[in-house]
Formats: sequence, structure tokens, C-alpha cells
Amino acid sequence: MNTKTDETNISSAKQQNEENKTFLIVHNIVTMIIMFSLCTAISIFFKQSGSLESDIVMVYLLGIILFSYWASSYFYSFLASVCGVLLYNFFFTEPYLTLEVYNPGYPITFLIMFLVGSFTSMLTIRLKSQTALAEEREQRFKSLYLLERKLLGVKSSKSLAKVSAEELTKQFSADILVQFFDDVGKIQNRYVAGKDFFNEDRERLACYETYHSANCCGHGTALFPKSKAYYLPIIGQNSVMGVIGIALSKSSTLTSLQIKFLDTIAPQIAVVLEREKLYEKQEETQMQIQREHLRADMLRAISHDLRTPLTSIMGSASTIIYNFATVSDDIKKDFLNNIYDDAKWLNEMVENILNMTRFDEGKITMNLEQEAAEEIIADAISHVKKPAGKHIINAKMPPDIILLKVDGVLITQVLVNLLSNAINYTPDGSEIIVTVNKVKSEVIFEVSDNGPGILETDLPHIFERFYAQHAKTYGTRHGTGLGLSLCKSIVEAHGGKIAIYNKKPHGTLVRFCLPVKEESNNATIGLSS
Amino acid sequence: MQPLVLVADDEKSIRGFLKVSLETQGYKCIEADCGRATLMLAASCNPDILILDLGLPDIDGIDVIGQLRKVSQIPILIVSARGHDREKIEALDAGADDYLTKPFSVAELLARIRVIIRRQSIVHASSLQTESTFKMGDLTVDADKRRVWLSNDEIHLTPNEYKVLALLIKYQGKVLTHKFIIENVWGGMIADDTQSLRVCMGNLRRKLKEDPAQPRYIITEIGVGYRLADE
Repeated sequence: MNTKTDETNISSAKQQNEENKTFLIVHNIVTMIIMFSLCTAISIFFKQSGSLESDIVMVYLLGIILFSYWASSYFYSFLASVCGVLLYNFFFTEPYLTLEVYNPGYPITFLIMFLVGSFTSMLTIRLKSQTALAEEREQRFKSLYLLERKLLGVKSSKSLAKVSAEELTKQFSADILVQFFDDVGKIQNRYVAGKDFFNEDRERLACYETYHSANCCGHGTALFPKSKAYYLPIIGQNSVMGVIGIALSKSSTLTSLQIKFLDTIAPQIAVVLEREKLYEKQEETQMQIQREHLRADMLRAISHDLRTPLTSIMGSASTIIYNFATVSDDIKKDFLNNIYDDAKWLNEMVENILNMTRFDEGKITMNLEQEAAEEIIADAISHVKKPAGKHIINAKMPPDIILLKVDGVLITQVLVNLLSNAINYTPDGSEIIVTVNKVKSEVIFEVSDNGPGILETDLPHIFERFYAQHAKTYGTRHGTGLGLSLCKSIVEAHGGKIAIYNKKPHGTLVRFCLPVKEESNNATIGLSS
Repeated sequence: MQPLVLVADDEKSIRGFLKVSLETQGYKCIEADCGRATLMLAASCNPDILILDLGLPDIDGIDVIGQLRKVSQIPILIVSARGHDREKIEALDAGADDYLTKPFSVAELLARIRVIIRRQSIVHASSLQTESTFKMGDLTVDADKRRVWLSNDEIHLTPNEYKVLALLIKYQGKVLTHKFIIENVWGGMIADDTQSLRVCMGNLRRKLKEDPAQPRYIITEIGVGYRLADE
């Protein structure tokens, strides 16, 4: 089926080609007839007015040269020379209106006339085509220069693909594919200017063949000749870095100039691409170094933080073990309670560290679902109910149910951290209020207390890791310095914002906003899986 | 008679403190350190409750539940490491009764065991005579007439709200996953849509006049499901 349509396409293309040719022949011949009619008319006029015979020869020669200015090939100029001689012979040598001659000198005149006519017309045609060629070449160089300048200004490999594809589309007025591969042959950047048929199986295969063989493939080549586009590789210093595809119609092929143009531009793209890749690699290394630094800092801080409760656990346990008979039960119980508290603190710390590292590595997968804000708050409060002790926790919720698409467990963790902070940094009997409200397309959560508030000098650093160390706590433990920083990471991962304020006359207010995306039920089903 | 508890965990120290805690509370305790031993002991000793760690070395915890459920209705309490919410839900959907996240406090564990055992005895009792009214705090539900009172005021629930409440009452104390509730109330019509469930729960909670900070009846387990509070 497919081949059949291909064949009909080809035959129709052939037909068109032939039509084109016939038109050219007719055009040439008509021009020639007009030209020689004119020449003959002028010559007849000269003859009547008694001019020299050599003038008539000149008129015909002029006609031949003028004609060759419009003629499309050497064949026609040759033909014109022959016709010119014959016409002169027919009309202006005795006997008139025959091709015979009486004067034996004429054949030489004819020969010279023919030679002069053909040479000059050939030269004219050559000059004409060379001028056209030079013009085209200049145009190409100009655009090549502009293109190169544009390529050099590119800032990333992604925009390089875009810019080169768009520029080539302008040059060739065809659909263009520019595709870059990474070191292991995976597509890194891909840009199509125009219609994207490059995804069809045959085109993809041709493209991959170009990449793997580093040779031109596709339309007009031995490999994948049925492909709709011509593919050429972008070859860098060490390997093939990408492929350019140019869509071509069935009958047309690229001219040698166009191929030359492509051969010039492809290495230019390669150079820019290599530069960008180097730059990206350098960026990556820099980031990695920074990450390593952060990790080292974190490990140092964590191991210091872990050592304190561990010392206390080991001390309490060993005191009980070695003085089991002599120490009173009250003291034992006291020590065991300390051990329990410390272990619990360690557990919270580990929990936060785990979440933190998951965020740092970018590996956290958020389990987004429609959650009710009130449920999240209730769950968070139930988590801190026990450590809250003598603190009063109140929740204020609007009458409407607020639904938002979030990872419920992570947002609960945010609230638990904020509530724990409020409990740890305020004296017994303080009131903690949790509120939630929907304002336009945002859900605003607030956790506030009426404790002493935060030192103004601490405020700017409060979300930094391990900052909490200096603040005064009312519980047995100081903070981990990870809680708020983790809250920030979680809220920002949801596309929200978090901020902390001091209240008048005293107290702290933490507010975080999460965006609500209104979705239809269908979309919800699709996304919640 | 002392209830028999089967503790399945590969950590010896965890089995150790669980055994001591359980025995001081008047339970009898047997231990298993792998999935195969768990299945064998469950079949041979017929324990009253199984405390199962999902991370056993030989058989996946979910499979253990699946195999047990084919032959017995023994209540299963899952203990699993934190951050494995999906695993928890799978375990509950596979037939586990409740779950606890490690590390847990012994007091919490004992409370959950008490709930499970009490529910078990109610199930046994109610199979003999069907109890038509349910009472809890101010809440009274008449299952025959499908009517609900809070204190002495009747409250009006939509059919779906009533179905949800009845389902929670039927499995009082047990965590019901979102999937389970949706399948039982909406009949799986809205397979993945938890939004309807949330709205229904929100309305139900408002009608029951729940304190959002400290709900008395319906307790939310974020990321997992809901349970009806236990007295």
C-alpha cells in the first residue's frame, strides 16, 4: 500500500519534472524565434537602405549574444549560432531564399560567423552562471557568518539546538531537526523547527544510523533513500555529538553548495556544543563539591549532636548496672526515664536527618493526594499531644472543608515540627494555636504561641540548618536545628512559602502557604495514582 | 484463660522486651524469628493474636499475611519501620488488623492489643446475637432504624455518611484504608478518588460536632485511612 503511494508520488514528481523541462525548451525556442525575427527584420531594413553585408552579419552575431543572455544552456547557444548562419544564408546570400551559395568565399564567412557566435554566446552563458554562483556564494557566506555569530552567543546546549534548527529552517526553508546525544547515546536535546515527522520509525532509524555510522544518511543517499529527510552528523573532536535532519520533497536533492554549507556549519555547531558541555560539566562538578562540603558540615554537626544524648544514655545505663544494689528505685526510675527521653530525642533527630537527606539528594518522591487540611492538623496534634504536657493546644478551622493536593505525611511532619518547637521553646501553660484558612488560591496554615518569641538576631537565620543551638529551651533537650530547615524544604517542594514572625506583645507566629490547584475530578483520578 | 500472643520479629532484643512486657500483662507469649516459623507456629499453636514485623528475612510480610488469611482469621498487628506507608496500606488491605510504626512505646502496643482482643470477643458475641444499637460517648446509632443521635438530638446523615459511620462502627478500633472504605461505601465506582471520601468525612465530623484538635470519634491516620476511636 505504502510503496504504491510512493510510486505514484514518484511518477507524479517525474511528470512535473518533465513539464518543467518542456516549459524550458518552449521558452528557449520562443525567445530564439523572437530574437531572430527581430534580427532578420532589422537586416532586411539595412539591406534596403544599402548597408554593407558585414553589418548584417554583425546584427546576427549581436542577436546570438543577446539570446544567449537568456538561454539556459550551451546547447541553445550552439543551436542559435547554427540558426543564425542558416538564416543569413537563406535571406541574404545569392541566390536569395535558398540555402545554396554561388560565391565560394561565403562558406568561410559562415564558418567564422558560426565560430564567433558560438564562442561569444558560450562566454556569455558562462559569465552569467558564474555571476549567479558568486552571488549565491556571497549570500551563503553572509548567512554563514551571521549564523556563526548567533551560535557563538548561545548559552546552553538546549538553546543551541533551538537556535541552529531555527536558523537552518530560514536557510533551507524546510523542516529541520537538530538533535544532540549525550556520551552514552541517549538523546539529550532535540528541537524541531517546522513539522515534526522526525518521530516516524523510518526517520528515527535513519537518524540513529547517522549517529552510529557518522555518515550522511537518508534522502538522496545510499542508506535509507526512502527517508523524507537528509541527515548529517555533527562530529565533535572525539565522537558524533548530534544529527541534523533536513526535510526534502521527493524529487529535490540538496545542491552541492547547500551540502557545502551544511559541512561548514555542522563543525561550528559541534564546537559550540563541546564548549557548552564542558561548561555544564564544570558547573556540575562545582555543585558536587558544594554538596560534599555541606554533607561534611552536616555529618560533623550531627555526630556532635548525637554524642550528647548517647553520653547521657550510656552514663545512666552504666550507673544503674554498676550500682544496681545500692541505688534506690526512685533514682533508677529517674535514670531510666532519662534514657527513654534521650532515645526518643535521638529517634526524632534521625527521622529529620533521614527526611533531610532524601530532600538533599532530590530523591524524595511526593505522594500527592487530595487531603483535608483539618485531618492533617488533627493528626499532627495527636502526634504531639503527649509531649505537650501542660501546654494548651487549640485548633481553629473554618466551617468549610479545605482540600489540597499535598503529600499528607510530609505536611503533617511540617506541623509536628512547628508544634514541637512551640512546645519546646515556651514555658508550661503557654497557649499554642493552629489555624488554617483558604485565601484565593492559597491555603494558609499558622502555628502561633504566646511564649517569649525569637531573638531578633536569630530571625534571619532561623531556617538555616543547625541554627537552633543558642535558643533557650524549657524542655530537657535543646533543638536539633533541623526541624525548621526541613519544614522549609517540604513547603518549598510543594511550591509554597514559609515565614516566621514575632508577635506583639510576645510570642511567635509561623505561617506557611500552599498553593491549591483546582482540578476536575478526572484530573484528580489521573494524578493521584 | 490467658490469651496467647505470637511475636514474629527477627530482632532478638525486640522479641525479648515484647515478651517481658506481654507476660507481665498476663499474656502468654511464643516467638518466631522468620516467616516460615511464623506460619508453622500460627498453624500449630492457634494463637489469639499475631504481632508481625513486615521485614522478616525469609518471606515478605505481605505474603505471610496472605498465606495466613487463607486459613485463619487470627488478628494481625503489624509493626513496621517508618516511611513505609505504602507497605502499611498493602498489609492492611491484605487483611492485617492494625499497625504500629517502629519505634513504638510498649504502652501503645498493649493498648492496641487490648482493642484487638476486645473486638475479637465482641465479634464472637455478636455472631450469636446481633446488637442493633451502638453507643459510644454521646453517640448512639440504631442500626435497624438507621438513625443517629448525639446526646439526645437526632442528627441527619446522608446515605453515604451513614454507610461510612456504620462501616467504622463495624470495625471499631481497626484502621480502615481509604481503598477499603471507598470500595465498601461507593462500591468502587470512584476507584482512586479520595476527594469524595474526604468531603464525606469532613461533613460527618461536623455533624458529630468533633473538636478538630482532638477528635473523639473519628481518628485520621494520614496517608493510610481512618479508624473509629476506641471508647
